Order: sequence, then C-alpha cells, then structure tokens
Amino acid sequence: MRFDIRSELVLLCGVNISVFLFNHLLMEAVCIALVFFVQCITGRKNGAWKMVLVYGVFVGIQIYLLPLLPGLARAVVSVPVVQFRKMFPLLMVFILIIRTTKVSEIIATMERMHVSKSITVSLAVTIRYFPTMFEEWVSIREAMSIRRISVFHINPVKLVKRIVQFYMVPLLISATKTIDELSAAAVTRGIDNPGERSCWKYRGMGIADGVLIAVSVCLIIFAVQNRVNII
Amino acid sequence: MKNIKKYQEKCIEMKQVSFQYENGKKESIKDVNLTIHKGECVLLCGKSGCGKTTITRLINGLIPYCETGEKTGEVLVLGKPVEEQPLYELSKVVSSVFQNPKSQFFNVEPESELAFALENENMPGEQITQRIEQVVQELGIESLMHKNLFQMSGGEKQMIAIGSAYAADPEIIVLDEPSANLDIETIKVLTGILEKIKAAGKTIVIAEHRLSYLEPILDTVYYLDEGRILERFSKEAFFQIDAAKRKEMGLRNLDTHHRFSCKQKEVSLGGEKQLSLRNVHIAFEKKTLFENIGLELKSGQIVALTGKNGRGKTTLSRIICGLEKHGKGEILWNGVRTKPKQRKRFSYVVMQDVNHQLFAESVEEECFLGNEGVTQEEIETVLESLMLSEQAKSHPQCLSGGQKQRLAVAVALLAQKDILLFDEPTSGLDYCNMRNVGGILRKLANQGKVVLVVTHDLEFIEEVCDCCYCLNQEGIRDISKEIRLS
Repeated sequence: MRFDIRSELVLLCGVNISVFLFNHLLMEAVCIALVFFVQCITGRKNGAWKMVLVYGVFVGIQIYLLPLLPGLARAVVSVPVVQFRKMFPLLMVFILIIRTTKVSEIIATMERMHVSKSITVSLAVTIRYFPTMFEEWVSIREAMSIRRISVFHINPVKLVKRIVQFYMVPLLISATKTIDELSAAAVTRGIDNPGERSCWKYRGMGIADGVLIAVSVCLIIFAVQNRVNII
Repeated sequence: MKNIKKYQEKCIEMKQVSFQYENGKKESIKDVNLTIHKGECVLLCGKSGCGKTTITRLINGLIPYCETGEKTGEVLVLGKPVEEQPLYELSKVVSSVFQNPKSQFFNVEPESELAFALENENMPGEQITQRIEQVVQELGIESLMHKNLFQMSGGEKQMIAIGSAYAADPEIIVLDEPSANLDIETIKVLTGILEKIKAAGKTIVIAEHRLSYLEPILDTVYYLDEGRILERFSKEAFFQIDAAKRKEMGLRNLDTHHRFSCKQKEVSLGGEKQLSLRNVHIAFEKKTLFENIGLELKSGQIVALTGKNGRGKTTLSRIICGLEKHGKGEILWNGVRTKPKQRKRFSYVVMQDVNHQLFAESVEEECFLGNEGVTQEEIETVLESLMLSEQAKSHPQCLSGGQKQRLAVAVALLAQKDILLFDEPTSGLDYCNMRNVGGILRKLANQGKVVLVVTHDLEFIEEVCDCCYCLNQEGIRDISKEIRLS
C-alpha cells in the first residue's frame, strides 16, 4: 500500500498539531498507534517496532522512575523522556515520508501544486541526500572509533564543540561535495526544464489517501475540542 | 586490411578555448582547439590536473551554468554555441556520466532512474515504457532491473547511470572517468556497453586514466598537459606507444594483452609480526558471503586484496581491523587470539574518502588528536618523512587529495598502529601519483607494518605489491603469479 505525499504531509501536520495542542499521554498514544498502523501497512514494520519500543520505555520511565528522582535529576531526565518524547509521532511520520516517497513523485506532486522549480529541485536533492548522509555519518563514527576519539565530555559546552567539530564539520564538507555531484547529475538530465514534466507511473491520490486525510483532520478537531474544554 | 572509418560531420568544436576557474582550482585549460565528428569516439587523457575534466564540463554545459570562471574562445555543440542554449535544451543532445556511482542516481528503482531524463522532457508514460524496454534490451542490463539501487555494487550503479544517459537518446555522451570505481570484470561489461552505444552512431567523449579497456572503441586520442593539448593520436599510434614513453607521459597501462603478476620486489628484513585468519566466516546483513577463509599477513609486506565489486572485500577488511565481528573462525595476532575491540587498537584504515577521518583544525592538531602521549618532535619527524612539514599549520581541508591521504598515514604512524589497511588508494590517480602512493606504502612496510591494500588497480598491484589475493565465490586464493579474477 502506498500513500500520496500530500496525505502523508497532512498526517504530519495532524499528528504534530494534536500532540502539542492537547498535551496528554492519551493523545500521544493515539498518534503513535495511528502512525504505527500506517507504517505497518506501507511495509515498514521493523523500524516502526523499534520506535514504539523506545517510546514505551520513555513512558515507563516517566510514570515509574521520575517520581522517585531528586529535583535536579528529575529535571534533567525529563528533557528527553517527556519533552523530546512529544516529538516521537512527528519523527515517525518524517521517517515514513523519507523512506517511502520516490523523488520523482515528489517532483511530480510539487509540480501539480504549482510550486516553483527551484524549490522543487532543492527539496528533491535534499531528500535524496538523507540516505547518503546516514552512510557518511556511520563512516565518520567508525573513523573516530579507530582513532579512539570520543565526543563525550562532562562540560556541556565542550561536548557541543566536539559534536560540531567531529561530526558536523566532516559531514558538511562531505555534503557540499555530494550535493554538487547530485546537482550536476540532475541538471545534465534536464531537471530545470521550465516546461511541464511527466511522471512515469504516477498514481495520484486514492481512497486510502482520503481516509488518511480525514482521520488526520479528525485528530486535529479532537485536540482542539479538548483544548477548548480545558480552557 | 583494416577499415579506417572517416567521420565527416562536425559535432563538437572548440576554438581557442581557455578557461580559468574562479576559485583558482588548478584544472584550467589554455588555447584548446579540437574538432570531434559525429559517431567518433574520443579519449582525453593526461596526468592528474591536465584539464580533461574541464573540457568535458565545457561540452556538457556545466561550464558556464554551474561553474564560474573566465572563459575565452568558442565551444560549439552541433553548430550552436553552448551559451546560446539553456542547459535543459543542451542536455537533450549531450548526456553525461560521472565518476562517482553513489551520487549520480535520484531514484531507488533502476527503471525510474532510466525514466528520469525522459520525464524531464515531458515524454508520455507509454513512450517512456517502450524506450526503457528498448534500452534494457539493447544494453543487456535485464539482470539489474529487479535490484534496488542502494543494494547494487558500484559497477552495477554505473551501468544504470550509462543506461539513464543513453535512454535520453542524445547525440553525444560525455563520460568522466567512468571506470574509476570498477573491478576488472565489470570494466569488460562497460566496454561491451560502450561498443553498443557506438554502434548506435553516438558520439562518445571520455576523460580517463584507465586506458586499455577503451581500445575496441576509440578513434582519436588527445593528450593534455597543464591545460594544453600537446598531441593528437590516432588509435593505432596511441596504443603503440612503448612502456617507457607512456610512463614518462604519466599514463597508465596501454597494453590490452598484458598479463599482470606481482613482480619480484626487494622485501624488507621484517616479517616477525603476523596476522593469521583461520576458518573465518564472513557474513553481511545475516547472509553468508564466504566460509573458511584462511589468510596470513606478515609485517614488512604489501599485500593486495582484490576481487569482484561487492561486499566481500570490504567486509573482510572491516573484520580484520575490528570494525565488524566475524562469525566462526579465529583471528590471531602473533599467535594470540584477538577480539575485534583489540584489533581496533592496533589497526588503522585509510579510507577511500579521507574527508571522513580528518577532524582537527590544523595538520599539527590532527596529529595530536587521539595520540595523547606523542611529542612535538615526533610529529615533526613524521610530517617531514611524509612531505607535509610545510602544511603543519594548514587546515586539513585545504590539502590536496594526496596530502590528505599522507596526513591519514601520519596519524596512523603516530598512533603506532601495526596493521594499516588502504581502501582503493589509487582510484583515479595517474601513473606518477600511483607510484608516489606505492612509495609511501613501501616506507610503511619497511618500518615493520602489516600493509593490506584493497584495490582493483592491476598495474598498482604488479608494480608495488609483494603478493595478491583474490576473494571470490570459491574463497580466497593467492593470485600473485597471474592476476586474474576468475
């Protein structure tokens, strides 16, 4: 089963808005369950299980462990376990979009939405870069382990400096080279043709997309209602 | 009596063309005059930095549309100046294939990749389907169609890139070092595909270092040096250049019938330390690749590991330096069993993309990083031995490719690593630079290191390595006497 990128984007907005509007564990759980279901029916079961497991662990920590911790420790642990956890549904949909959307579909969809060519091409190259970025990150990490270099430092300022120096700088330098090469491969095949662009095997939106959009909208309505009730 | 084909119609013309990159990149060209005819297959060759890639970029429009600089002279493609046509119009008549298979494709399915240029031309869906079927059949790439591009080897990706360029049915195909990352068997397939493209009447322009595989298809060769065309050869004259002259010209092997083998070299008196692999099981993503691999690597020797494109050699080299665990079997260092974590401590990999392993803000700082006990004097000695003393205060990213490689070696020496692994260190290098890399490896071996090189470069193996192993379906075997993959 495949969904159109527009319905996935509506799901992204729906999940994001509802989780932040209606700040309740039940809302989060509903969003996680919905995204998990969508990931399963699009064939992304394995990755989905892992994220749900991590989410479950975070919830467990919040309910059982946090109340037992002293003030400062509770504040520090609650950052990932409570605040960051709210981003989980968003992250899951984002990963779903990156993994299931074909670049040519993105270009075709953006064209039908009359988005300008420069934005479309930039977006296509960016999305195409993500898998390569992940491979490069792994390679950098391995190089660091062979040289016994670690980013860890007690001082958070030095920790951030190390993350930037050891991960971000090599990644950015690699990125400029890879993106240059990707762009050359795209423009020499006519991607900046201002005329219309066909999309081979373009599916467009179907009934399943309609259902997904409707469910996402319902989520937002539900969140708004509960928010209004609280106020 | 050979048929000498005469090409009549002009296809590409360059008249007194000079180009200087804005950012001062060295590959400028000066006063280039050349004419390429329809149906002709032309090779641009020379030492690294001679300007052959610049000429390909002038033909396919990347100069001036994507690269800035000062240009004089005229470049005409099918009679029209390049600047008078927008790039998307030019791309209908000139298709390009680049060096790096990893960063050329946009889609995950190979069929979508073949359709990419056709979609940009707004070709209707049915016509695209027909054209794809035609291309797949003509080029013989049916076996690749059911794989996903991220799973393909470098050679397979490059086949799809050529297919995608050919699918647009251009008049001209420009290739920039298409064989750079390919093994010997895949290069034969590449030659076959290029022969078919030539038979279809296309004009082919190739900038290349590896030369012998192009013998069946070439018509004319231009030899460049420091941005100028020094000489124009016919195919027959070019392939008759003797070995001494072509080495002087900085060119790689031209002899298509040469049988490679590891020549006798002076071997150092070392050899005390030894890494042994016994009955090692190699798997990738839970799939068994090879079983019962046995290998002995002695210090003081330069050992080459070759084989077809695929995961085997990379996985084996990663197992040796402890980046990956092996299933069954054992790996002994000087007779003692080792675990991956232990091997990581005394091994080092100089990666193909050295940018991934340089982290500091200066060459000196890079040497200190991860090597806490090292002194300033030791660093200066090592940098001098690797011709990097002048660059001690420079940022690593400002160094040339060869300098970065030597910096990675410097770091390994200062960390007192015993096993040094090199991943395709001579990919894309001309003859002189290939020999320079060989010189560094020989220095390391003479210092008592175990040196293992994963490579497809047969000329490098012959001239530099002491012995050569081939990893294929049957397992690992010593092919030093006759270097062949099958």
